[in-house]
Formats: sequence, structure tokens, C-alpha cells
Amino acid sequence: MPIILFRLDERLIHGQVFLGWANFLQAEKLVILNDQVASTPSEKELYLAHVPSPIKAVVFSLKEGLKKIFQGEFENERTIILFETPQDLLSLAQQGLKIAEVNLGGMHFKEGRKQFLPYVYLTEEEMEVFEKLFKLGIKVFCQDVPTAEKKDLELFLHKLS
Amino acid sequence: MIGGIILTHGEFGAGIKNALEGMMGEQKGLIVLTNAGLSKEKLIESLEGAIGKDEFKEGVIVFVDMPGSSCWLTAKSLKDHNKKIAIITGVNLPMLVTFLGNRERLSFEKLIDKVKETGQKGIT
Repeated sequence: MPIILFRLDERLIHGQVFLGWANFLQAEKLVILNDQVASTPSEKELYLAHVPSPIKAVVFSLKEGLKKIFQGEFENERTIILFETPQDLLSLAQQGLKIAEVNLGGMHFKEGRKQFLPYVYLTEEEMEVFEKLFKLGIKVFCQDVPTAEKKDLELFLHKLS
Repeated sequence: MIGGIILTHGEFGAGIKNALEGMMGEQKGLIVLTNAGLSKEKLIESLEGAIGKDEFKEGVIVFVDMPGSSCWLTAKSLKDHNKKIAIITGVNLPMLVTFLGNRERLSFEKLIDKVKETGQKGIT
């Protein structure tokens, strides 16, 4: 299955993704799996408007996206799948999506979150969701851009707490 | 006054304002914002705060560095605002010089045209 990266990034498609990762991994397709964006045409248009060709970009709801992955829809193109929240990722993993490794690219500052890295801030609740992902055998590596150091979130959280 | 907000990645905005002030002296009504480390909510909050300033009665131009980026997306997601807001991408020195030199003189709409025109002419 040529899904070459599962990425968790609140900004979904933005510079780090279409310039950084897509180039580095020679991705052909960017897929946002997000219910809110999929159901809001104006938002969808904004995310897709400036993806540089020849990279293709699409948006699906979580349910639709999962179905397409199971059907092998992305098998012919080097694809990056993007999630906004760890909750979304957990929901698909619990529904049988096989994920070995996730790239955590950005969860940024807001109230109630504690800083772990300049681009990783988490609430207690979010930390618990990551613990559930770890229990499912999913590795989470923090790395905002391809040239940055790759950090194992599990080791990082456990060392700090 | 027509307000200017430079919303960019990293320290680009601070750097370009610094370069501009090196040529034109200290400038009022030109705010620099960065997306570094900020969630979408926080970025919107800081942008709303800057746009909402009382002195920017005649409108605000938001200068962003790159279309499709999180800065651009944030600026685009501002809705239902009672002020005139324009978003101009590809911020460069020529367009900012034109903005500062003409904002007291031109209407909001004319200023936008002029700023875009000089910005594009600055690329040769």
C-alpha cells in the first residue's frame, strides 16, 4: 500500500507539508481525512487552492476515507494521509486501520496545553489519547520538517512525566 | 488610518519590517505577526486583535508571505468582520514601501491595486 506517511498536523495542508514532506518523500497525493473540512466547501477549497502541481490533493470524511483506504484507493500513488487530531487517528485505528508509525508535525499553543517541543503542545486528555495509540502498537514520531530530528513521543512523554 | 499587518512564517515579518524601517524610519500602524508555535485559534485571536485596533478605521491590509500556507489560511478564514480587509500574498519590500507612502492619500480600493502593482513590478 503506497501510503508513505500518516501525519498528524493541526494545520493539515500547509507549507511544511506541500513543500517539505511532499518533496522529500516524492508524494503524488495529499489526502486530508477530516469531518469538519469535508463538510464545509469553503474550507475545503482553501486547503486545496494552492497545492503546487503535479501534487494532487483531496479531502474525505473519516468514514469515507477509511472505506477508500480499505478499498485500496491510494495504492497507485505515493500518498500522504493527514489528520488534525489524535482522536481522529485513534478512531480509525480502533476501526481496523493498520498504522505502524505516525508523524506528529504540529499541535500548537492554546490554553490548557503544556509544551513539549516548539511545535508540540498537549492537554492531559490528548496525552491519554496518545497512550491509547501506543497500546495499539502505533509509534508516534515528532518531526515537523524532514530535516528536523525525529523524536519518539512515547519515550519523550514517559521520560518527562 | 489604513492598517497594515504582516503575517508570516518565522521571523520573516520582523525582518522585513526591520529592513523597511532602515530605509523609511520608524513606522506606526504596521503590525508584525508570526505563526510560529501558535494553534489556529491563537493565530486567529492575535490577528483579530490586530485588525480590531481603533486607529485602523479605514480598513486593514494583511500581507502574507505565501498562498496556501497556514498564515494565508488563517487570514482567509476571517469572516463577518465589520472592517474592510484585504489579503495580499507574496509580501515584498516594494509593495510595503508603496503601502506606507500612499495609505494616507489613496482610497482603500485604489491602495490595494497600487500595492499589488508595485509588488509585482518589483519582481524583474
